Amino acid sequence: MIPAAVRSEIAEHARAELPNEACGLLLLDGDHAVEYVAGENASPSPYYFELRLDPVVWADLGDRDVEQAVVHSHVSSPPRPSRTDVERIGLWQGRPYVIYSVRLDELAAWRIAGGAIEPLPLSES
Amino acid sequence: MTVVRIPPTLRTEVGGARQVEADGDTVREVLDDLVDRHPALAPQILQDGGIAPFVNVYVGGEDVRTLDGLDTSVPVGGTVILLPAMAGGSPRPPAGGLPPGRARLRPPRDAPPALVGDPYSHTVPPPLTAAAPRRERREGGLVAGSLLDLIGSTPLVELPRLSPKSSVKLYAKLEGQNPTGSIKDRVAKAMIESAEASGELEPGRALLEPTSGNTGISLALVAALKGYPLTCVIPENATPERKRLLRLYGADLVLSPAAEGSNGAVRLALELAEADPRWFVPFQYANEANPRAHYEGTGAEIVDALERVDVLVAGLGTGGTLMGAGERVREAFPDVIVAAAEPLPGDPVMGLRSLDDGYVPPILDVAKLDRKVLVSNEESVEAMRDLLHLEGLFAGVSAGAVVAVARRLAAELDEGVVVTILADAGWKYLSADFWDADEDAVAASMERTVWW
Repeated sequence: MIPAAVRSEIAEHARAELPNEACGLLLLDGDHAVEYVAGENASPSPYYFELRLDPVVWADLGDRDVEQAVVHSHVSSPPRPSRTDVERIGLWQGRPYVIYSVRLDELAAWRIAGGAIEPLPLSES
Repeated sequence: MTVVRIPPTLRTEVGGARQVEADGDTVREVLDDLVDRHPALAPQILQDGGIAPFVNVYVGGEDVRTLDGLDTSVPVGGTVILLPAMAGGSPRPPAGGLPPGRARLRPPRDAPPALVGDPYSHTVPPPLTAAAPRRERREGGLVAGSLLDLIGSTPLVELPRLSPKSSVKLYAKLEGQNPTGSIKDRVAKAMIESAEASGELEPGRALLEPTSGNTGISLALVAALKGYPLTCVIPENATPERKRLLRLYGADLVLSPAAEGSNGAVRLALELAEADPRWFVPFQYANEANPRAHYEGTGAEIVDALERVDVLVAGLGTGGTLMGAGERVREAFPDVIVAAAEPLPGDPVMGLRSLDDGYVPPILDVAKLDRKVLVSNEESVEAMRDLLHLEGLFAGVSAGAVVAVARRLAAELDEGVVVTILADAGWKYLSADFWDADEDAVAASMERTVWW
């Protein structure tokens, strides 16, 4: 479940980063998204992102009792993981993976593991 | 002893601890000691004698890959932070890009572009001459039944010397090769033929159009061949070449105040038309046949010619090219970025329309533009000079603006294909001496007249 305020922070960040992809972390308390932490795209491109956050801030987030989900934007394609996303999932496999499509204004959540993509239910409030 | 902070993604390997201890003077020694104590971490953080690709290691807040890598020294009592790297992206063709050398051109399709889903077909009836243009290729070359049949099907040319990097292919669609020398031939023909088809334009009526030049010249050609009289409302400071060309093609001119620019011509034309029902005003700013000509023509031609388009750049005038061609190219390449070259607000009479000037053409839906990139007069003239000097392409002022924007967007891509639509050639701007005057003279000249 993602509150409207958190969703609109993701959307605003994605629009602000156009024409490049935006990225950040969504903090989850159980099934409930509680906060969006905007990151920096270290490889600014309309087709690629590389999440960068201050390492100390990021490590401190890891010490809070919340789960982290990577969020990134697709400029014009639908919010479905690309082959690059699957190939580069790395240590985040099996965790919630959130994509926002700027053109479609759609948010979707996925789980990528073992090369497979599984949709996760996402409700907005 | 060094503290190593462990991210949630790696805590299973260390029994759930948020941080652990390890010994060493360098990152290599600390990580070696760490995996000795927690062997399950080894495959996650070390690979091929280096740091695994999906892990970032920080000392003093710096990524050690940007320092001395595994040899980075770790201060006594310092902290090492491990974080899961994350990278990804939206769908695009396989890495590696286009092969070097000649770009891959698609063979022409046998069938014309499908009209299913044509966003303009429901608003405008099909033109009377819906069949393919009467062009025949005989042994001696191309023979057309009418000059109107030679409108469109313009060539694309690669601009390798203007691309900021070899991995990005930059193409220009040469609309200056239309019969009157501009992209507006497509629009004029489509507007008149759709008005004939709908019955709105009949023999005996006369055409009236506000234009700073190219559309008037194109309408003059089409009107002359079809037998309609044409009056153009044109800003009095339009270039002499344009006024002369319009008169030579047989158009009557009504001059609008220079200070009001293109918007003044629009205002005056609409006032005249309201006062006299004899006039038929095609009005390219609101005529759906304008974007439709670019959907069925300009855009379809690009899609047929290229296997891939990542960015499409055109000038923002009526919005017809960007809406129509943009729509068609997006249908074929959903990830394309449709970018408008827009003059800096306040840069006088640049010709391309600044939306801040206060008039948004009804056919323009700004939401369909992925980017609007502001471009100055100086950048446009510089790019226009580069087009001529580096690529031998004698193009108009808006072409300079479009190419300046295309080069900027190309520089942002790692690899890909950028297509520009160059609206006309340089002939009608010769009196301005853009190509070899010094910059101050060009700036002064820019302020005196309307360029398109």
